[in-house]
Amino acid sequence: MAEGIKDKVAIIGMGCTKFGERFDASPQDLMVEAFVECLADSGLEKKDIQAAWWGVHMPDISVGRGATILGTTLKLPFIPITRVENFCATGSEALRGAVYGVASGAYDICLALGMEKLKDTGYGGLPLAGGMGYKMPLNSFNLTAPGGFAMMATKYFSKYNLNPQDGKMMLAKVSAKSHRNGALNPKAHLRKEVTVEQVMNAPVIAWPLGLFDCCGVSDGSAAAIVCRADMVKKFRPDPVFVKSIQISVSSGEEMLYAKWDGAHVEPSYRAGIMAYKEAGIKNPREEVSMAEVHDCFSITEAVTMEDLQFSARGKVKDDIDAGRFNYDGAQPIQIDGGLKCFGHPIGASGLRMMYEMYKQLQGKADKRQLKDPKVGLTHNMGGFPSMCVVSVCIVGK
Amino acid sequence: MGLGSYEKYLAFRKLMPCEIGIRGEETIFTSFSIISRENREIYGMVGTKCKKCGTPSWPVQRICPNPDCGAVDQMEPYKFSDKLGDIFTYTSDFLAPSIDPPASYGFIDFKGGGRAGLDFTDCDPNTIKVGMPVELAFRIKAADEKRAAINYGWKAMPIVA
Repeated sequence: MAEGIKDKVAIIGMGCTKFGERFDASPQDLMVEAFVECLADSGLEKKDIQAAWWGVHMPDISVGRGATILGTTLKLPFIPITRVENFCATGSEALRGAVYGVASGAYDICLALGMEKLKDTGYGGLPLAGGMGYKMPLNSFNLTAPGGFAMMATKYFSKYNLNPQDGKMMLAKVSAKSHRNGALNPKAHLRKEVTVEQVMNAPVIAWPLGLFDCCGVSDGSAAAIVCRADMVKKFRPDPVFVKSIQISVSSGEEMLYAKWDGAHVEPSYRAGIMAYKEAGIKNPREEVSMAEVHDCFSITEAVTMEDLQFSARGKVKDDIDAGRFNYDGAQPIQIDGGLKCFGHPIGASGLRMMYEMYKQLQGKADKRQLKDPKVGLTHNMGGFPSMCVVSVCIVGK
Repeated sequence: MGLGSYEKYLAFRKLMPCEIGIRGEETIFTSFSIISRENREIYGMVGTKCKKCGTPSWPVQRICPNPDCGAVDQMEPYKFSDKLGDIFTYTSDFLAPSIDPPASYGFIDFKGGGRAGLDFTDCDPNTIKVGMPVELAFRIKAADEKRAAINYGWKAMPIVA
């Protein structure tokens, strides 16, 4: 009987670059920036790292494939390195590899590092490079990331009888909240508050989503060093323990069996259930102090509140209106500004989310510090609502 | 529905250059072996229907997606191109490279079962609604000029009462 990994692994060091249009920095510069902070934070030396997991989603436009770029950039001494990729959950997948490496007993200390360099394309939105195979253009349609998630907003509005004005207002409050948080974070890409009216009146990208319903596209990198929980006291007094790390992947049921309602993300719900079980959480709405979720679009965050059981089905609007997820609410979400303000360097995002949970639990989140949070959660989604991968990771003291 | 403007006609016929951004510059590559192998699916919009539980699926499947069935290799060909459907959800997308922006597309639920993501054609983006009936139309999807291949496929056409 599988017993899970609760409290077997601790995070003892993390690093995160400034995210943004980092035209000043090469991909390797970003990787070194995250690693140097991470290693210094852990207090370890490079020779202590026994294995590494490296996450990059679109290496074809930055550093190329394989694991060698991590070894040769950081000068890791011939240790095992695995390159992972799992859509926008790539960063969390790297962390999962490192955590499992330790939990399995194979290693004492592992590194996870994620990076993405997107802005060298010279245009907005995610790069098209990295393709989905030769067949896709022949039998698929003109889908983009905002379009794929806009279809979930359309369906959510339709299912719960929200007129476009009320629906867009609900989503605008999600974005305005994150911008308020991001403005306080020196590492965020977009550091400006916006009003609900500005969000509502912004140009449409993919109806009903406007510019401020979409997260930024940025360059960045983040890293974590994890170790065996029973050796952690040697390294630091304030480690963060991994309570669960789970991932759920679509079975295809959503589109191929056509029973999906289009207004939620089934793998988010399933990954949540698996993670709560592993971590021993009975009531997520009460027990999860804070979360960084995958707010690639405002609708994604709204629906995720329901999928993770923070809000009842169809009722997230009430919680948004009540300010539940604001920095001073009962369950702060995107306290660092989220993908909304950090942008989404794909391979880095999952680790960037964990960086905030780690700092918050240690009481080191500066102006964003919440009062004594106990349990933090990251939710990192890749793909489209209709077909995706979702990682949920829960950490605590 | 007629063309919106003479300029659109010129753009469609490539008589006038059209700015579609760097995102639109990606080269189309047509794999002829894929078309040869899977032409019934690509040009005929033929999916599969499970002989055991009756679930129709697009595109072609070997294993039944019904979680209570899961039958392996019990599929028969199932034609979607002549089925009517309803718009399950949709968007009109200004980011997608298109010579006729916004690119409207959505998920269609077919009468008799099955769901597909399809581009829309011959419709006014402002009139699209969830639940609107559609029929399918065989249209040009893209032109691969380097290989002199016109890639055709099926699009959803809202039925205007």
